[in-house]
Amino acid sequence: MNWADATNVLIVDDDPIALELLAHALTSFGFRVEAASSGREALDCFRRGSFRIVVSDMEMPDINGTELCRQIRQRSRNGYTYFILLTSHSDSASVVEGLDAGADDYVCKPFQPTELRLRLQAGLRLLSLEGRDLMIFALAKLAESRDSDTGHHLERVREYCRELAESLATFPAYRDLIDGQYIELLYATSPLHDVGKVAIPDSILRKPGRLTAEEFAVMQRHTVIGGQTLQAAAETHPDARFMQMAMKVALSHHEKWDGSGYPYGLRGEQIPLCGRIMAVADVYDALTSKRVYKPAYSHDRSVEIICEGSGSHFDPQCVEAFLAIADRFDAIRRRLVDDANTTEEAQFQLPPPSPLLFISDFVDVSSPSLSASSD
Amino acid sequence: LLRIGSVDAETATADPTRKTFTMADQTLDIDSLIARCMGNAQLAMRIMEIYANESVSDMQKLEQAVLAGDLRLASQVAHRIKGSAANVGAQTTSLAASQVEQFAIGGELDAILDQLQTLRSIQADVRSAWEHRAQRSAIEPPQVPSHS
Repeated sequence: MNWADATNVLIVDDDPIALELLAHALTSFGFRVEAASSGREALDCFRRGSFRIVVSDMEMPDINGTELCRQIRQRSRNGYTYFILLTSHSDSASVVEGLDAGADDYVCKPFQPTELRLRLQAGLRLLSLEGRDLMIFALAKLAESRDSDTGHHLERVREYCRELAESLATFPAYRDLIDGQYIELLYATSPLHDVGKVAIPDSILRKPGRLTAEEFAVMQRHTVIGGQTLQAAAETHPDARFMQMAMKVALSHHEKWDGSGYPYGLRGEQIPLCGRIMAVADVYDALTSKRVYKPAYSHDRSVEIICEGSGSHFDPQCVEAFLAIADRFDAIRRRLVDDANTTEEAQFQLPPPSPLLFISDFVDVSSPSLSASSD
Repeated sequence: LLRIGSVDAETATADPTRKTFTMADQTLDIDSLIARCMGNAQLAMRIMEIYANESVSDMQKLEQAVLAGDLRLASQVAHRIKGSAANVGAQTTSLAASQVEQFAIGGELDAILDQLQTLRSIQADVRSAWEHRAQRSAIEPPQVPSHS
């Protein structure tokens, strides 16, 4: 494998010469390339394929590069797509427009292979950070696995958080506060909101019934424990916005707008925005999920309950943003619904990973001796 | 750097008040094309063949769009000519097409008609330059596989 690691790249240009040159350069670098001669064709490719990188011309007759980028950003739900725009020198206004639509980089036409190669290397470095997000999600999932009946809770709440943040970003008061980076950070860190539960005793965490006042006080400590743990990491990397947000989410997602929440009884905008967003996402998921002590409420009933909590439990603007896209919450809930396969029992009935996964890096797994020993 | 051909000052309708392109630019820079082909001369040959076909077809589309008064389409086609010419190293063609694109965006029909004449002339120069280079066999034509 070379540095490009056979990564799938979609190239888009209505000029066959540009496509031919791009395809040759990218294939030489070691990428797997698919070509589209229009924005519409590119969207078709994107629907049926899996591309980590898109290199697109800016000016195209039907869907231009900016619009293509915007639509791809809306469709990228399972992993980030690095988007490079190809543009002529005179298109500086269009470049700004393209970057604003979510493009990551641009290369002036006619491209130089050396420059393109360096830009692609930068893109792959950024994409590798996604591996960090996957690892964090795996750790959050591990912490969550001690809780008995959460199923796809983490998968759902991060989707809810993203939808809610995107909706809130359209409000004038939040336009400058919530950008694409904020939304991606919230998406990545929201699964860590309950990481402090690893320190809560099983007798309380897995109790099949309502908690006593004493037990509830212990349970409340998960916010502080999670916050402290993440704060320790944040202090060693003060520039890592990722850790800062993870810490705020863990610490503040049980605070309430009227000051009656925990652990600190913060009120109003004293509560970090990410915590206010997380509160709506977390409660909606709890309401619509079955627990040992309650049935799953319907979407409509859950929306009513959240509305009733506006101004007391929840930030009224977060509730307003939630109401604007409540149908999307319902769609996510339906898509990521828990079934028998997501219960804790089913999760631990999965077979362990095969040892061949590890040793195949070092030995020839097709050798007769190994085949015989695996019988 | 190998430079082939140059635009004759007499063939271009240079008008300083309109900021049309200068005539000192290169007509066809084969080396830059080969560099973009990462040294693959056969690919460069294939690219030039595509360019030869596309440029004729694009010029026809451009002229038809101008005659039909469809300046939006004219600007799109001119933009395409600009890009593909730049890719093959036909810098003067690219600049002339860029002028047509800008005139089309600005709705300046007379200026477009002037510039079209220039563009045609420059494209003829590009063709001659390419034929000259091919005759010198600096780039071997692609081998056609025999079907024995």
